[in-house]
Amino acid sequence: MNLERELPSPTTAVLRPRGRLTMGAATTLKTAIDGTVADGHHLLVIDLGETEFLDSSGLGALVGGLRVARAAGGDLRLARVGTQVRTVLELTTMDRVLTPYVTVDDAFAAG
Amino acid sequence: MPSPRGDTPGVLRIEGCVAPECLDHVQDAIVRLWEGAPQATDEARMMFEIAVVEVVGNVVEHAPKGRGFEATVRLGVEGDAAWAEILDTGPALDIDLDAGLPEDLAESGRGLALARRAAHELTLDRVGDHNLWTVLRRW
Repeated sequence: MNLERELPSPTTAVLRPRGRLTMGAATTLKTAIDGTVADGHHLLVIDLGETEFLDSSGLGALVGGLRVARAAGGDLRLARVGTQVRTVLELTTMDRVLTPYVTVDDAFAAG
Repeated sequence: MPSPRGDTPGVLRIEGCVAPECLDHVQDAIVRLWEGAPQATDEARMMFEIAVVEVVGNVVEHAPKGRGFEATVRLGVEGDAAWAEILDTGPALDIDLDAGLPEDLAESGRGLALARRAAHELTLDRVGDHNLWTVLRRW
C-alpha cells in the first residue's frame, strides 16, 4: 500500500491509501490517522478510490480511526469506495457506521 | 502436511505463510488462479478472495511466536467452484465459526464472520496435529 496525505485546512485531512489495505497496511493507516488527528486535523476523509482491496484488518483501522476522530470532536468519512470495499462494508453491515460518500467534497459537506 | 486435496496439476501452493507479507503472495496467486478459470464470475472471484484473505489473515495473526510454526495455502478450481485449503501446525483451535459480528465500534473480530458470508462453505477441522481450514466459493 502507498499512502498519500493532503491537509486542505488546519482541521481537515484527506488520506489516500492505494493498493491493498490488509493486515500490514492497516497498521500503517491507523498510525497515520492517529498522527493526523493529534496534529489537529480531526475531520478526515479517507479517499478509497484507489484502494484495490480491503480486509477486516483494514476495516478495523477505519473503525479505530473513526473512534479517534470522534474523541477529538471530529469525524472520519469514506469517499469513492469501489465494489470490493463496498461489499466488505455491506457484508459486515458497517456501511451503517462508515457511510460511503461519492466524492471527497460530498464527504466533507455531509452532516 | 496432510492435504486432503493434494497437489494435483493446476493447484497453486504457497508455503511458509506465517507473516502478514504472505497475504500479498496469496492474493497474487489468486489472480493467477483465475487464468485457469475464465468462466468464474466477477462476484465469485471477489467473494473467494475476501474469504481466503480473512482465513489466512486469521492464521497469520494467531500464529504461535517462535520457530516451528508452518502454514501452507493451496488454491484450486474444481467444476464450478474455487477452493482453498489452509493447513497449519499450530495448536488446536477453539473457534466458533457461527459467531456473529461484534459491536459497531469494535476494531477487530469481524474476519471470520466476513469469511463465512463471502464463502459458500467455510470449515475448520483438526487433522492429525494440523488445523485444516477450507474455503469454497461457487459461481
